[in-house]
Amino acid sequence: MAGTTPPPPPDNSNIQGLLIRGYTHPYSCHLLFSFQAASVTLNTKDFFAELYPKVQSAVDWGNNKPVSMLNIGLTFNGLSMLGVTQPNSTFPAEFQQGPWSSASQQSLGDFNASSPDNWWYNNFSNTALHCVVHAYGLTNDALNDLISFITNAALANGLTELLPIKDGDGRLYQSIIDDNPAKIHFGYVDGISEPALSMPSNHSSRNQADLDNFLIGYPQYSIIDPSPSGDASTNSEAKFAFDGFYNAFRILYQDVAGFDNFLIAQATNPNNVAKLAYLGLNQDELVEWFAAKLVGRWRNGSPLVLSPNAPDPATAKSENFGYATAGVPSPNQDVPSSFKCPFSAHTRVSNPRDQTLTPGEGNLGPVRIVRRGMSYGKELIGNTDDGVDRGLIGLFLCGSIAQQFEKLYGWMNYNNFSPKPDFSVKNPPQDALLGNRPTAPNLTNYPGVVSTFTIPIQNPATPDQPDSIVISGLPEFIQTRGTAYCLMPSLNALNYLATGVMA
Amino acid sequence: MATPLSLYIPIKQDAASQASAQHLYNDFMNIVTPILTEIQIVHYARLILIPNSTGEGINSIMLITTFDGAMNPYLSTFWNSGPGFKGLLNAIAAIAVTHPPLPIVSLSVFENFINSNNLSQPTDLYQAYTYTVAQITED
Repeated sequence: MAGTTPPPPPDNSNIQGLLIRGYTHPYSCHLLFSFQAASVTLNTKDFFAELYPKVQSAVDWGNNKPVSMLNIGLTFNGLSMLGVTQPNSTFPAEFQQGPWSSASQQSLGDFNASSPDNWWYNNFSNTALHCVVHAYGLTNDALNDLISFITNAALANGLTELLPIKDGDGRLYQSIIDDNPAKIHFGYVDGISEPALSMPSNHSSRNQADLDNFLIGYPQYSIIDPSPSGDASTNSEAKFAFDGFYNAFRILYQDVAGFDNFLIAQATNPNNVAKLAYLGLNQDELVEWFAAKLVGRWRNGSPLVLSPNAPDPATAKSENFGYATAGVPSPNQDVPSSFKCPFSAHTRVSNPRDQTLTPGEGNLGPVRIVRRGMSYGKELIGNTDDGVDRGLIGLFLCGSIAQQFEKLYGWMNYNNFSPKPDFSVKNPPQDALLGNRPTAPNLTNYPGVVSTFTIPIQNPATPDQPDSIVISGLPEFIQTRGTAYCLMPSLNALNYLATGVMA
Repeated sequence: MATPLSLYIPIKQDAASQASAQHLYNDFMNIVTPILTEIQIVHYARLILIPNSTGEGINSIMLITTFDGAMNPYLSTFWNSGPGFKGLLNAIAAIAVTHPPLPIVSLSVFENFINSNNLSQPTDLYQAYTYTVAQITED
């Protein structure tokens, strides 16, 4: 909505902290709970009252980094059991219906092993999940103490803990890869590119990365208009949701052995080796080259656009770059940028930056999400699968699950968001890393989709003879273990759940 | 993928609302043609006036369309297409028996209004072809 007065700045003490800042606590556990109808009123109030003092807000902790802390998310079914939702609810449809709904599955495309019918190892039903508590510790002991505190509070107040994975005690613990909390099982440093989350000062300065596209209750200049954002004096849902945001909580198994062996196969393929001989790379370096092309960044984080030939510590956290190429007469012909970063590289699909979008995507630029994920499961030693469940605990934070998270997921499964006639209109590829690789009968949902990954190359010695490496039959590197759409309520709203009094 | 949208809006029976419905029907093509041509994701769209069972007057408006992309993320494409679509939607809501507070100025209110009145699920669609509008019009 257009307006003349800048919106009031959000109060960081009322916002759960993980939206505003990426925690660097090396230990975390993500606990899932179900409320029980008979005990849901008084006892859940006590549960929230016990946890409330440990909820971390977005206030800067300065030098006093909490030894342990937590954040809380609630599903629509959970909110309904707590009496927060109203008939004819004004919460967004996708939040009400859940990620397993046919509407959300249009974008998420979870089928076969990833099907919602198989989520959570069938340890519990999708609708039974009501509450997720994200627990963080500076030390393993601090985390374990916090887990005991949370689970004791749950047990004492009639909540049932749900166990989402098959290994260990069934809980989702963060794992550390190569002693680097930011590293994922596939070997990449993650979480580099995040939205700035500033507030716009006027309508013309609004941006997809602004905080008002993530936080509920600041519609004045928001592009996304997170909801429910109606009149809080007449809409109790809007009042409860104010200063909240959404978390698309998604557990993604990663086939690490399959991924590693795929890279080795590409790096030793004679045709590839011959075409890439001009690079002068050995086999290990070629493995890293293919790994970088799949993602758009080297595994240390260096973006291919800035460091096309080798990872560079100086660019490892670089954000200031784009994909549009100066001097290209039409964005439809913007091929030169792909010599550095392929169109379907993961980071280019999930954040195409200044790349031209199709008219159906609007003219407000690509949407953004905030990622606060971490790895789970033991690190794989060697290149042979050991049957261990490992992957990513994805916390995808947004103001609109549909407009931000689901839109980007749709793009990853079908790269038709950019007007490249021969490349992405007639035969759209998929995100090289996260695409869902449809087969019949699901293929019909993705007209013309191809499972090939094209890496344009240009030998400097023969610049007038561009070539490409075309990898056919990209494997499915990822499987969905479960997904929950959660509201991360404000501190005021959590206090209301604890006391029955809304400030 | 193509998504079906079957927006079913029972309307008021007073003379002004009935006249407004007829006016919307008459103007529908002029309003939506430039918008839908621009966004390039809509296969077909039509507005229907459903008569009362007595044969007198209009019972409901139906807006039926099939568009490329998923329902949830791409409703915003219509909303952000400009004042023409917002005007059409508000004119429909203004004569609806049940509607949110008017005018609808918020994307989220628009999304909920559409979702609460859409009679089609994503799987409720026969497709003789699966091409997108962009693929069909590319050549």
